[in-house]
Amino acid sequence: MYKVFLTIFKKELKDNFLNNKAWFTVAFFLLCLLVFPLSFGASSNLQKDISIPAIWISALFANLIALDQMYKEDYSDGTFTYYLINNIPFSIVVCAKCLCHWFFSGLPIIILSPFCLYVLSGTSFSYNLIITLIIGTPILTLIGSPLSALMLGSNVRGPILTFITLPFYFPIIIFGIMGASQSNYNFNAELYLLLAMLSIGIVIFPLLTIKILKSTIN
Amino acid sequence: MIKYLHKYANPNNFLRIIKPFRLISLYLAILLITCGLIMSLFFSPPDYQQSETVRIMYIHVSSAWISLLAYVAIFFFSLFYIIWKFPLFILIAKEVTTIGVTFTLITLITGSLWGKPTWGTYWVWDARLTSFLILLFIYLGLIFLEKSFKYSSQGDSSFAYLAVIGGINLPIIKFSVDWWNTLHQPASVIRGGGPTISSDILTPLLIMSLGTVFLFVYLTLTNIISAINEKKLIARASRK
Repeated sequence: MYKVFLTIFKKELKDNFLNNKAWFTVAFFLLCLLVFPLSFGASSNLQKDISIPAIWISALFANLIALDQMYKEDYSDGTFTYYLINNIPFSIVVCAKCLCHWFFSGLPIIILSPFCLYVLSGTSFSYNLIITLIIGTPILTLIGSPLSALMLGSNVRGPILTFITLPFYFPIIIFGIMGASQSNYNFNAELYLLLAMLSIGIVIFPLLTIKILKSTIN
Repeated sequence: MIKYLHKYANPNNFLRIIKPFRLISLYLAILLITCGLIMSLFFSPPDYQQSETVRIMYIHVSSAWISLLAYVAIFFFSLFYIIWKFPLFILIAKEVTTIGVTFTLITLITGSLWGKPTWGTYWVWDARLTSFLILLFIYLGLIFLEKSFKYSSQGDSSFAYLAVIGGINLPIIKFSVDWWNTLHQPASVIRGGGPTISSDILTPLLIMSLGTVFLFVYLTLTNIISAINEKKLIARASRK
């Protein structure tokens, strides 16, 4: 079972990193971040206040951009039918896909965030930003995965998926930014809420994704 | 339960049954809304703090209840569709969305008009208002999802799953005034320990909301009948 997971995970990584999808996501994050300093104007107060939300919003949009391609290619070239015929459990496939999606839409952002924060606002390192991003970006991926599977049968692409996904991201954005903007280093209420969401999401959303994928393929 | 429902899963039987209900609910809606409007505009006393502006409440609260009721209906019909796979359930759920959007918009607009004289602002980002705005966008997402699957049959289960996932928002709307300390007033009618509203105001409000429920039923049944007829026409045209 573990071997199958590793094989699928390696395939996903190869698919995404050799195909420029992953690099496109990271580059999109940086480009999206560039919009905020350009819109600050001359006020330096605004820069300090808005740099943490700017990083969060860019992370959200990078996640959304990568979401469209999450299941689409494997669905259209018949890989899912192949998995189904060979009795490979979909739970493994979905977990591998979610983890891989987080590997290029969450992890690079977490690594880049202290640097981005320094460039944007001039303040140094913030522990809370990194902790909220570490907890928050996996939730974004997990919520996105069933919604991305919903759109498989449709001929219309892109924008509609973004529209139906964004309302479900609002709570994470709200609590993530509230948690990241706190100045004390203690674990605060927002972080506990995010952790609760993550632990519920890990259970529920892959299960929903499997259901949706099965009903779409049959 | 399933055996009992199977008899009505046939669209023809269903059409025959709901046709009289549609007219009855139209007459009841007209009667109750007229009574409620007259009572609320002329006979109910003005509030001691908000004076005459409290009369916006009779429309605002009843349409807010209906927009939540519409989502509850969509949620349960989608859930039943996922469980039992009757096409009629998803047809009903799809027809409720547009009505839900209308009532949600009415709620938001009357709410902001009411907010100006009482709170001094048209809009604040507090929990109840924001979660209601998110409800509007979930409704719009459902409509756009349905339209994007216009020529494929897979849209039914996608719609059902999205509606079920969107149901997370309902308890958040209901309890947002209790969980967070908000500007919007806490629940005062549907709460443990009975309503906290004076009966002079409560009676017209209940009559208005009952009338709006019947209006909602009438609009939904009209939509369902036209949707079933449309499906019949398409089936007949494709057979030729």
